[in-house]
Amino acid sequence: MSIVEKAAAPGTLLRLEGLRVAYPGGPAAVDGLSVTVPSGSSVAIVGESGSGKSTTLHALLGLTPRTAHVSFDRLEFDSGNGSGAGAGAGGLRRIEDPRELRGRSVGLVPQDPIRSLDPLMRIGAHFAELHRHFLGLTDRAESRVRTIASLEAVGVDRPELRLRQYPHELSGGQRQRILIALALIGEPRLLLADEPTSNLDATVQRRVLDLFDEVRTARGLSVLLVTHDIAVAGERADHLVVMRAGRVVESGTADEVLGDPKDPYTRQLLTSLPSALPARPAFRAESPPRVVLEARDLTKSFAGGRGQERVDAVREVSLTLHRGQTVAVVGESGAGKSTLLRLLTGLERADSGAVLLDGDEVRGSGGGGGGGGGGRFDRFGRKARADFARRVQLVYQNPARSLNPSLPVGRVIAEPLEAHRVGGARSRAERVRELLEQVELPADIAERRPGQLSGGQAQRVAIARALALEPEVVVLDEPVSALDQAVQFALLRLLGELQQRLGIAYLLVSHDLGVVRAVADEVIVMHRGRVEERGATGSVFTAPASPRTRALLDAVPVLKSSLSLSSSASSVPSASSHDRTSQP
Amino acid sequence: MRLPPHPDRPGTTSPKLSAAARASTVAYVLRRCGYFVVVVFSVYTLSFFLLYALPSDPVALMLERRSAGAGGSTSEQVEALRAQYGLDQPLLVRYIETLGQLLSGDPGTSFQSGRPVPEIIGAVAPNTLGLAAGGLVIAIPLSLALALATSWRQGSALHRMLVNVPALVAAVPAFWLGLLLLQLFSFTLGWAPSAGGTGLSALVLPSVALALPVSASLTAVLVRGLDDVQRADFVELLRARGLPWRRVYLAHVARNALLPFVTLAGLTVGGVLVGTVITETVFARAGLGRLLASSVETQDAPVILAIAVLAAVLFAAVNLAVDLLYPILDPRTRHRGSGARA
Repeated sequence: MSIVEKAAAPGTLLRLEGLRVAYPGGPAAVDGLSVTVPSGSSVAIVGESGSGKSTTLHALLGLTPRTAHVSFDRLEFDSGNGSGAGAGAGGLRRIEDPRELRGRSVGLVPQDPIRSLDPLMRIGAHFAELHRHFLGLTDRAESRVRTIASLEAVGVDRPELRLRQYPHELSGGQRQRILIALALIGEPRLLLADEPTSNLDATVQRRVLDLFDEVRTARGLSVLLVTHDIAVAGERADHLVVMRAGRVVESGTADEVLGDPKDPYTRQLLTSLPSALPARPAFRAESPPRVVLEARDLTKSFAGGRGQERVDAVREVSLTLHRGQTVAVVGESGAGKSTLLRLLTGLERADSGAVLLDGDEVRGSGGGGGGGGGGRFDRFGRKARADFARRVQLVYQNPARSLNPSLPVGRVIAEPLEAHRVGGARSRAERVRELLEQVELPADIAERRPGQLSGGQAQRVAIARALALEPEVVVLDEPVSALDQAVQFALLRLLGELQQRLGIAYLLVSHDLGVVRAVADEVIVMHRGRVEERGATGSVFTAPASPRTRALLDAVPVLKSSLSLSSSASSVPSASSHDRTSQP
Repeated sequence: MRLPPHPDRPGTTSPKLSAAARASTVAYVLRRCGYFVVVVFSVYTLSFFLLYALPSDPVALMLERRSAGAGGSTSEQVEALRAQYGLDQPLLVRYIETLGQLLSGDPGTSFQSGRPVPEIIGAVAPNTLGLAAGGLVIAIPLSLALALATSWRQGSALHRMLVNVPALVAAVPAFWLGLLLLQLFSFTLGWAPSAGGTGLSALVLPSVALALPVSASLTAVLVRGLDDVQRADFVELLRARGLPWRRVYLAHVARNALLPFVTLAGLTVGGVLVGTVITETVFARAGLGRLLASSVETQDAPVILAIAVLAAVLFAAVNLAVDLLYPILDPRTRHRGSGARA
């Protein structure tokens, strides 16, 4: 694998001009897009969902559905090693059918590592198949040796063991590394990365992006990164292409675009970061309002596979949530955030410890004093449970999957009222109208089905449903992570306003530290089921006490934009700001 | 650019762990075998009480048939027959005795003919099993081929056309299809015997008539599965790597789509057994289906019970095989033993 010589020559690797993609009966998904990727550099296409960035990437490999109409004025690729006797300058060769780029010239790293490996095949078989295809290698032992080497090269631990494992036995980060190794087998000169880290934890995201950079410099590759996250793009790419509604609105070097954005849309992307949210009124820590939800020494463990010892998912976690307060729980996946949420919302029963609502212990929430078997909410069963559910409501991460697709929106929102027998048909309809107004949706949306809503609208409906019973606590499980940046921004603002107006307490779980910093009063950092650090948001972010907190903060991409820095004093935490403020 | 791999921890897959994994596999197999026993036992219980707790008198029916025209029968004769067949015993005693008999391989004698049940069933069972096997041998490859051809190209004209075929076939009544086949191939073309007969040539038409409705549902499920898997991320990625579509389709798409197909194929065995009743009637073949039909008419309880239990054993055995096969086909349903998650 010695194609490093190319790194020195700043030629052009890929030139695509005038790409148009249209689906029947719709406007052009991509309209006259041009992009150039210089050798050895990284280019990022930034845009929100529906901007055509993924379609562009698919068209580049001839992967668009048959119904799509794809055309381009010119597509040139420098396939290197002199074999392409192309007429174009500098080894650039005209490509008529983009499908010939697949594998050997362009390697694709997909968005969702979880679903991008054949679930029925061992890791070793994935590699063997491509070895056979690209290298004509049929010798199993040789394929095995090569596989181990390439797994080591992308930093997968215990490669011999991984060969025999199935995809579902590996974590998301490991799978993404394996997918990068698979993309490199055909020795492509360009890596296409389609939101390669959007489904990964912040710390894992950072490590995977680092791996991209390493692979790029070590092999002299170019990377074309497609992302919705302008912060990631700005940190990792030399050139940015900002797309909106199928068109390029701005392109240039990363410094130019971030430092002096020309297009209003780019400006909007930069200013709709969570850090630009209106400042929260300071939480009165000295004279706090009454405590609505409290957890005392919650502990929960799960059986970890047969013959293995039990895994403590949550260990002696306590927290208090005051009226009108937002407490955020952060940590990597597997840190116990979800289990803690399930314990606090009564979906799971703790091994020990207690959950208190308004100072009264919730029956059956813990195993502490009562002991004895029985299900959750055992003795005072339904009533206690119903009462608890009225006052603690949940908003899930994925609105598309948490709304019943067969009910009209009005029924979805009224359902908690029906379940708790609140009011009659007329008063419920009235309440639905009121709730839709509160979440700033038009009243006629009540007639529609969840499938007809955009992601942001669907999440607003989910919030309206959570508010229907006038709860005191709303638990937000990654409420905005499935949404575009501008939609996130609007939704976070709405949540803030609702909190001020209704005095609700939020318990927020998020891996997005930008969001957490912007909306939380208090932060709890979890690690392996324990509380690693807790404190007021400001102090945790500026002076983290624990090295693990610092690692989490360091993983957040740094945005080098003068605009976003000037627009709000407290920007996304940057590595330099920690160095300045964190004391040993 | 080699990153240092994590230090090896060979202790994670210790012999102790794999022993635990083996124990869980054994537990799984035992549980499935337990389900098998429960299904067969329930069918026996249900059939027994349906047959014997009904308020009609099999002995009266028996005598009516046997001595048709030979004058009436005395009440002593009736009592003697009742005692001979054990019908004078209380229901629960008979239930347990019959169960014991079945377990020892003796399903008793027919009320109607007085011949032992194994003899009666043994005479016609090969016909039916041959027909059922013939039906499956045609239905499974046919539905595989049809589904693979349908789903080969998404959104192609062929796909749009073929995707409607299963619904069309399923809408055709089985008996009418049989009659149609007979009319065409036996009476018009004279290629196959129209009724009864033995040997392979007599088996072809009934097998086809039995297979077509069955393959309709199998094809529909497989086409759906193939279409779904084709939309999966990993399939797109394999295409993006430049693998030929033939390879992606057969080695990845088809393999993943086969999982629900295998489950349905197992359940189909039940449908095939039911279908033989109609098919055997239309084609005038001797077989379990017709034997069952005539035995129900005469309330020949021992024969009905034996056929019901036999069908239950067959059906449950095939589905047991599918259950045991599944973890081999789908690693995700295996029990986590070698947990080396990092």
